[in-house]
Amino acid sequence: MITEIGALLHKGVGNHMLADLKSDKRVLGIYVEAGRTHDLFAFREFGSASENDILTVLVAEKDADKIFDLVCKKAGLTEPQSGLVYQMPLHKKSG
Amino acid sequence: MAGRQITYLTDAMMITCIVQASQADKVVKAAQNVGAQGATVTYARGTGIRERMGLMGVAIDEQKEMIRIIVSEEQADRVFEAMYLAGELDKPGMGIMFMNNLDRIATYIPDDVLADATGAKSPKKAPKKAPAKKKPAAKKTGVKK
Repeated sequence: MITEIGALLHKGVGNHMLADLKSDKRVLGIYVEAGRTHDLFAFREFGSASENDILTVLVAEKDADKIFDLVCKKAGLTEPQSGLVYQMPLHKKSG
Repeated sequence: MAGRQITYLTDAMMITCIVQASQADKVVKAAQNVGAQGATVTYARGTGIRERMGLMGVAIDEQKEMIRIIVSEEQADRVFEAMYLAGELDKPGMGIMFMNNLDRIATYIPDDVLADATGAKSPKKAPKKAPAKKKPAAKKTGVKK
């Protein structure tokens, strides 16, 4: 069973985290997308939205807790306006 | 994160909605109108229905917008329906949406909100003085000498 850990982060933070985590043996896959968010950050760039990164990390279920906490720590979730991290189960894997 | 705990939120769902480019804002607005806090939107490129619809498919934009919204389980159905109707997803080629259960979420939660939710005393608030209990009136024993 594998798990998806996703993070909605400030622009640029996603690529830093990708660089940090890609060499971790427990990480099965890691991707970063760029987008805009309406509610996560008070800082607004485009009308009511601000730029953000979406990080997706695929890990085995047994490693999920540690990687989740690691992503939370790197995201700096103890500070306001730092983003959000979530975990969701995936039902099939290949490779 | 020394000395800090991560608070996990549960009973949440992620709604993902893929629509044609420039349609996302009205879908997000509809979701916000029924209680969603906001949304995260990314760009994508779609394929499939556009090709299958032949000449009619030319009217479908290849560029897509992908909307992600995280909501509580109680709100999920209401927000899902509002987004579906706003995006006109009952029409062919307009898009697709789906909903996933989330195991947990972590984000910044202010101390006072956390204290209210858990029923613990907030460190920032001055402790309220408990109203003094009235002492029950002492019974008159009426000892007679």
